[in-house]
This record gives sequence, C-alpha cells and structure tokens, in this order.
Amino acid sequence: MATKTKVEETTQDRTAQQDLADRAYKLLLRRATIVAHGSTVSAPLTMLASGLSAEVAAVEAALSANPQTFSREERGEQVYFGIEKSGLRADRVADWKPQHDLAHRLNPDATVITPEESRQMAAEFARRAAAAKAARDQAEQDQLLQEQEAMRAMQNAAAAQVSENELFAHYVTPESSDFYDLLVEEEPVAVVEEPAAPPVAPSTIYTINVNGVDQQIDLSSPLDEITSQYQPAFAAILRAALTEDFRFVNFDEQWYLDDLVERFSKGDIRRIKDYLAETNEALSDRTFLTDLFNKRPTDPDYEAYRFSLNYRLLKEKKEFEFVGVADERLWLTANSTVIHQKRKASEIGQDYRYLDEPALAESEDAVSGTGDKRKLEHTLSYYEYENGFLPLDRAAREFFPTAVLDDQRAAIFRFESPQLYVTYLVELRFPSPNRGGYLVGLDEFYQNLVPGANFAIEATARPNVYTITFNRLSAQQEERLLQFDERRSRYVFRPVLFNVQTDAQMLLSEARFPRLESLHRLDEAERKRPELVVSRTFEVVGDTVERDGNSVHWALLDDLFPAVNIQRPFSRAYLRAILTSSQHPYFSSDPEGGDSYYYDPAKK
Amino acid sequence: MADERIKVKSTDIEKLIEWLRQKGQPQTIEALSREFIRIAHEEVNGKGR
Repeated sequence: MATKTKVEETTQDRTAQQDLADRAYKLLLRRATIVAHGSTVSAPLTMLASGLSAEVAAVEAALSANPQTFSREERGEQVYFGIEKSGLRADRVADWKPQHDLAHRLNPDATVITPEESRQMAAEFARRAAAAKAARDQAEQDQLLQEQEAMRAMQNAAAAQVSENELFAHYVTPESSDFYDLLVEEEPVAVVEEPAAPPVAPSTIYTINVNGVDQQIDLSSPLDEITSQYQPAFAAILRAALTEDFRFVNFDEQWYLDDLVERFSKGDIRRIKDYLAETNEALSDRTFLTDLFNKRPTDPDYEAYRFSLNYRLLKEKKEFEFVGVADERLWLTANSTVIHQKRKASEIGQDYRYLDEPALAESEDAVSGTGDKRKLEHTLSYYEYENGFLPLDRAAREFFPTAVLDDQRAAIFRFESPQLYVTYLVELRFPSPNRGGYLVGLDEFYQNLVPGANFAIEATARPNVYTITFNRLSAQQEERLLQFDERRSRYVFRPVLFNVQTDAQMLLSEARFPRLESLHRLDEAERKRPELVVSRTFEVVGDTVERDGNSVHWALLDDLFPAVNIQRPFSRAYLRAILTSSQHPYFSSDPEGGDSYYYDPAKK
Repeated sequence: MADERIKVKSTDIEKLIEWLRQKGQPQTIEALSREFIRIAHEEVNGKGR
C-alpha cells in the first residue's frame, strides 16, 4: 500500500520534481532507522544524486523547492540536504535544554564530528598507538645502541687501517713479458683519468634486528641484495606493525584490508554449518566455495573470497573449529568428534606430558628426506598399538606440520595405505600446556601389525595427506605374543601369525617375557604414577639378585623399555630420567654399566 | 651522521594499503615485506627516508 508522505502534501512544484523530492525523502528516511524521532538526518547532495540515479542539479532544484521539508547546509565544499525524522520526540521534548544532553553532562567541551572526521581520528589513534609502541621498543634498544656506537667506532678505526694497507696490497707488478706486449700492441693514447668520485657516505645509518642481533643495513644497496639478506627481519617488523593497525586483518600469514573483506550473512554461516553437519567430516574452504557459493578458482575474486570465508569462520569460534594445515584449510563444526577414542583426550595428553620436555621427547625414530619426500620411520609400542596413537615426539614434530593458528587444537590428516587399499582419518592433537601432542586414529591400521612392528609414514604433495606402509616378510612367523584379554581383564600370551618386519627388542613374546602372563591392568591412579609403573615392571621383567644384603631387582633398559610401554607411554630418555632421578632413590644405575639398573624395594 | 632504526612509518602503511588495494587479493607477509623493502629502498634513494 502506497503511503502518502509529507513531501506529497507540501510540494507545490511540477510532478517530476515532486517525485524526485519524494524519492529523496524516502532515501533519507532509510538512513534514519537508528536515529531518534525528531533528529535531523542528512546526506551529501552528490550521494543523494548517486542514490537516486539523477543529475545533481535536478536533485538540488527539487529539494531546494521544498525548504519546509529539506534543510540545506554547506560543510566545506560539500552541500548536505537533511530531513527531520518525524515522531513523538519533537512534541514531547519541547522544553529540551542543552544542559540535559548526555554529551553536555559528560563532556561539555565535546564537539560534533562528521563520520569522515571520526574515521580520520580513529586512524590517527591507531597511528599514535603504533608510534607509542615503536617508542617503547626504541627505549628498550637504547642500551644496545650505546654498545653498538662503541663497536662502530672500533670498526671504523679498524676499517681505516685496512684501507691504508689495501692501497699497496692491490698493486701487483706485471710480468716483464706482459709489460713489453703492452708497449708494442697498444697505441699511445693520452688518457686523462677523471678523478674517481668520492664514495657518497650515507647520511643515515639504519639498523635492523636480525634474529635478536642489531645489524647495520645500507638501504642504498641493490634491492635484490637487501631482500635476499633481510627479508625475514623486515617481515618481523611489518608483522608487528600490521597487527597493531586495525585496517589490516590476517588469516595465518595472509594479510588483507578490513574494508575489502567480503561480508557473509547469518544465512551463509547457517548453510556452512548445515553442510558440515550433513557430511559429518572436515571440509575445506574450497569445498564451501564451490558447493555453496558457486565460486571457481578461475574467478578473479576467488582468493579474496577464500580469505574472507576463512577469516569469518575463524570469528565464529562457537560454531566452527579450524583443523587444517597451511594451504589446506579444513573446518569442522565446533565440539564435533571425527575420531572416537577409548581414552579421554585429557588423560592421553597427561600420558604424553613428558613430551613437553625436549630432552625427554627424544626418539629413535628416523626422519629422512625433505618437502613432499619426507619419511618418518617408527617402531610400534604396545600402548600405541592398543590405543591407535603415535606420539608427537621430536622426530614426529620435525615431520608433521605445525599448527597454523596459535590456539589450534588439532589437525585432520588422511593416511592412505597402498598395501591395504584403505584410507584412515587421523587427528593430530597439538601439545598444550601440561599436555603432550599425539596422533590418534591409527588403531584400525595397527590391527595389521603387532607391537614391535616397524612402519613408515611418507609425505605427499598435499600437506594433509600421507601414505603409511609396513614391510611385509615373505614368510609368516608364529609367536606367542602379549594381548589383553577383555573377558579375564588380564594380559595373556596367545599364538599370533604375522608377516611384518619387527624390531626384536620391542616384541613382547612369551619366550622373552614369560612373567607378563596374567598381568593385571593397573588402575588409573597407579597408571598416572610413572615411577610406580617402572617399579611394577621391574618385578615382572627384572632378575632378582642379592645386593648389600637386600633382595633387589636388576634389569636391562632394553628389557624394561618395551614392558613399561604396555600400560603408559615412555620414551627411552624419559625412562632413563626416572631411573636416575634423585627423587626415586630406590632406582639406581648398575655401576658395572651396560645401561642396566637396580630397583631396591626396601629403599621405598 | 644520524642513526635510525628500521620501522614502519605511517606513510609506509598508507603505501602498503594502496598496494594491497591494487592487488585486489590477500598477500602473504613475505610479499608485503618485499614491498615494504621496495618502499624503504625507494625513499632512501629518492627523496630520503
């Protein structure tokens, strides 16, 4: 239903002009949705003309013909037309006094500023904040600069001495034959040597911090030279500055301008969420762009759109979780579970807590190759076999990519087995304070192996896809190996046929560890105490010997290591650290060496 | 002889904003830092930084 506006009642001019004024009124009214009744809403004339798709002069004439409706105002070179938003306020607050105005009560000196001035001031504040930070950084470096002054003085003195020496050192007497050749062959030319231009000393010495050390840099050097030598240092300075500046936004190491970021509606976000719920797997940003937004990689705005999507999803932390790696940006619905595991994530993280300590995270695993030819070789422990884990130890950290975001919890990978024609979804749980990192989701693959088996993980051209292989033996072997009997709730030895390559030191066979038969699983409170796990292992793996009148247990580290790894994870370094720690005086190393240890229960 | 630490000035930021607008798509910090070096180099060899 058409509504008769104030303009229609008051305009006395021609119909076309009236129509234009009416449209202008409606346009201005649209801007007034968040403005109080009785307030004036204005806009630049040029903007109105653009919004109405009409000539500036025509709009000005139409609005000027209705002074009772449109107020005209000149601000600098801009002409503004405004209307008053009709409503109750003008009638009810007839006796309004400026002193009641909130702005007046809070800050009587406040002045009205335009949106443009507001933007400029905000930019200025950001610049001042950046300058203040730079000043703080500068103050911190003052001490270093003083030291550099002294160093430079010494360097200059040394350089002066060198140049004197070089005057003579570079003069080489020509061979006598060459000397005569020159006399014969060369025409006598009167060479007037121009005096060499004195080197222009730079008026300013620039310093830049390179890996924590201040270095002088000559900005007049060739551009390529500066770039090749100092690009990472410039990047570090720039990253800090861009982080402070609200006009820049970033996702990982990609940066863009906030005002160029595409906006996504709530409906768009809902569609993404529904799509993730429907597929119930981690999906990439490229999948969303293709399937939901009809974008193609060949579109000119594809990368900008892709950035904007990732940037927006990152803001929706309650809805989405990033589980990707660099350039393979995968998303999951927040709090969803892709890989189900027997143990709680917090318990596993606690089990692998020792990996926080670099010295204890050492591993015997080998990493070879670089780039997409990287290869990680690992020997499976019982704990890993039973739970489908792979520890994120020193070698694995070197092999797998790091987290893209500071607070990233996990990354989802695809492990392809060319031998079994199966693909496994594997989740890398990044370390967090007091929790070690690990990979989970390999239990199905491990069913084809035995504890002690060797296998290899190889990178591919895609950063989130790996191949996983093991060495098949030509002949099958049969051994009685340790397994957990769920019904009896005990560890038992059972005959197992296998044809995979194993590390004999890690194989839990009955022939080597007969006393592991009928071993009980430790309860959770006992299992959380690594020293208790070690002492229990001594009792079933070690030899009982007499020492200083006491009956003690003696064992080789090579025997203890596979057995302690039945109930909780240990690295060799971690096990050795417990055995030699002064906190556990009941453990001691064998003075006769051989990487063997004693456990004396009497000293507990 | 003046001593100055390399820092990102407001004029550098404005130039980087303009450069990003021209590019029309996000850029890596590496590409941005290369442009920053170019700006600094140009300033020293032109009107002076």
